[in-house]
Amino acid sequence: MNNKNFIAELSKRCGMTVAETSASVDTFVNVVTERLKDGDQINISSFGVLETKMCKERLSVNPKTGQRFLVPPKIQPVFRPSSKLKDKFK
Amino acid sequence: MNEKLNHPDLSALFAKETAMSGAKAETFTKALFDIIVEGLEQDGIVKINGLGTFKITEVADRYSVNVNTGEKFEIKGHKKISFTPADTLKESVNRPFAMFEPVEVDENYQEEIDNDADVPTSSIEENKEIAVPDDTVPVLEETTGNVADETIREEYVTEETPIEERGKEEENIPQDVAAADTDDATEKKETPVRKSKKILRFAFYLVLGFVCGFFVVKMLGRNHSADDLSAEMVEKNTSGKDVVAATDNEQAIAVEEIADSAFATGTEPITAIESAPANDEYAFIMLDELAARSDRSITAADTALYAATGKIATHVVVENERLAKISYDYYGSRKLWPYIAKHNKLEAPYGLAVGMKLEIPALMPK
Repeated sequence: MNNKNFIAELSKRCGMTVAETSASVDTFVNVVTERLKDGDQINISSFGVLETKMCKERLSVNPKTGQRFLVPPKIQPVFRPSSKLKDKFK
Repeated sequence: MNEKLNHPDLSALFAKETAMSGAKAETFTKALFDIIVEGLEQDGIVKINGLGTFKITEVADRYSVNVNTGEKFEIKGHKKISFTPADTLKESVNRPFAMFEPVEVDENYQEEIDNDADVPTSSIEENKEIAVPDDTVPVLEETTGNVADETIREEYVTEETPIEERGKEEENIPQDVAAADTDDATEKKETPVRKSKKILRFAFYLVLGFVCGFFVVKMLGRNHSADDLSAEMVEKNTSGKDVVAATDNEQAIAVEEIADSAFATGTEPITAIESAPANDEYAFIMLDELAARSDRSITAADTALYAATGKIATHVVVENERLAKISYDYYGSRKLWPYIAKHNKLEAPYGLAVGMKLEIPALMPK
């Protein structure tokens, strides 16, 4: 299901036009991004948890050349599915 | 910061941003997530622009070991749900570390990374399946889906900007990003040296502290035994000599007297006596100075503690004698001279004349 299909389905479900839902989804994504930037955790029951994870810097190797390099620390958005969701797809 | 939002919270925030009513916003967000689940069930992949991609991946059977018993057991193949954040989301979230790039490192670089340091992670990695894929080289850690593998490997290209901060915390914004010409190798060598310098500095201050403490204790010790110390010194000086004290002796005692009172007050002892007035005057100066210097200043009022009853002896003053010395001779303490003075009705400046007769009273504690 690509983005187009997703928006189409959502607009059908909510009784809005595609343009409207598209805009709404954009704002929704912005809200989520803002919260994640702040380090907050978004927990949707029966779906999962969307949060950020801090990765420390580490030494890594280019497998081809063997050149060692230092990967800098970073913050990553991460999704952990809830057990109910996982069960659905067992 | 570090809050936990649930569905109603999220809907409320969303409703604020759009023209939707609260109820509408709730249905919207609920539908949104429901459709994601449905999409996963149907197609196994759902992509949302700006947010990311949810994907179902098949995991093959693998064998694992029971940590307690050590026996092998099989983890059957199953599906797992992965999420790959979109680029815009990744960038926004990583903003504090945005200017960092991987840096090439030479052979001698020693890993100084303290991976046990406190890190404000909001997630505990539950999904341990991630690092498994057999065909990929497991050197690069992965926290999200396999797609991320590619992006990291492409970042071998080095930038000249060195990494200054070994940032453990999200707030750590690097200070030095310029310096395109910095030699990375020496950079890395500096950090081990920097750490040992810190330890050295700490050790130095510690030793310094001990030395200072030692001196403080010594000074305090001196204060308490001031009398005994100078008493010894006076004894040494006057023993074996005749009653007639030479001026030198007087001065010697005088120095010790001053030193004695100086210790009592904690001021610097005066080692040189500038002028040498006549002996009698000297006696007055000594007493006044004594009184002035010591904060346990001895005045005639100090006759309050003892009562003078009867007399021990009659003392004939000889040359260069002082009340304090007489008191010491008869009472064993210089401090008790006011009793002698009072008993003999002497007033300031307590002048003593050679040949003067002083009654030395017996002192009884009141």
